[in-house]
Amino acid sequence: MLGSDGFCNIYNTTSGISDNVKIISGRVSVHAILASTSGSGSTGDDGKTIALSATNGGNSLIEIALRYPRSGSIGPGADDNFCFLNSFHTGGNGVLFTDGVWIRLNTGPGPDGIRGSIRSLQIFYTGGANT
Amino acid sequence: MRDKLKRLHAKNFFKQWAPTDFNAGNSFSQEEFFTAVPSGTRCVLESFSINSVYSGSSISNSSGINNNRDSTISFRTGSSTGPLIFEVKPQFSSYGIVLFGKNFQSPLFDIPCGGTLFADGLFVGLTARTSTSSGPSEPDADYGFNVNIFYSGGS
Repeated sequence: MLGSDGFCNIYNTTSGISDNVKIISGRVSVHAILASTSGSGSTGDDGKTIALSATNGGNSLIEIALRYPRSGSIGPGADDNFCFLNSFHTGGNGVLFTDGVWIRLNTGPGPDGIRGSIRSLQIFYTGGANT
Repeated sequence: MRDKLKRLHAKNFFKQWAPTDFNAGNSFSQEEFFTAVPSGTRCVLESFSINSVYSGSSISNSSGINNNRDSTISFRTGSSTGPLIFEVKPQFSSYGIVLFGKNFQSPLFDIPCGGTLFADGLFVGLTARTSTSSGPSEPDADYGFNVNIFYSGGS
């Protein structure tokens, strides 16, 4: 069910996340995204955003800029204020994707946008199925 | 719609390993599995929180702890080695060290809609790894995780 009364399915990955791939098929409502990141060790670290599109290469319906700890190798820097994970709730009944969900990893908004990596990603949705 | 009168069950899973545990078998990795709901019973995970816990004073490669290794909290059904529903990676925060204490509790993550169904029990796995997979990498002090889960159904 696409409404708020169906249990959530989860797209889950802890391996490398590919760019421009269809990760969920069918008529889908996305309700929340959870992502864990690690930085490169450079001050002002930044990384790729996670963008979800309804078509291959289409415009982003959702795009979130992630918070990166300063360093993945030596522990977070003093300016890091996330204990774990980036979480994003859409509210309402979620965002409708009429025919599947594609993921795209865009360069982050900061000056060091190519640094850092996504360690794990979960997308909570109703309807559809993992590809 | 979520039943406003639905009673939640709460369980806490806490495990800290001693530094010497990590050199056992030269694996530099430790695992602990908990049964939240036994196999054969359905339940719905509604929300959870996790945090890394460390008894030492600093988190760095030299103290054997970092965020770059694959420490995980896994949620499975069937058994402790059954199908993986999802898996998250806990992280340390030095901001937590400064202002909240190094073991600052993570925010509660409220799973949207009616939660996620675990059709054949709910099993939580805690996997801790030290900063490297070779050479001396014992953490300077006890290290582990604290997990809270809130679920309905089950037992």
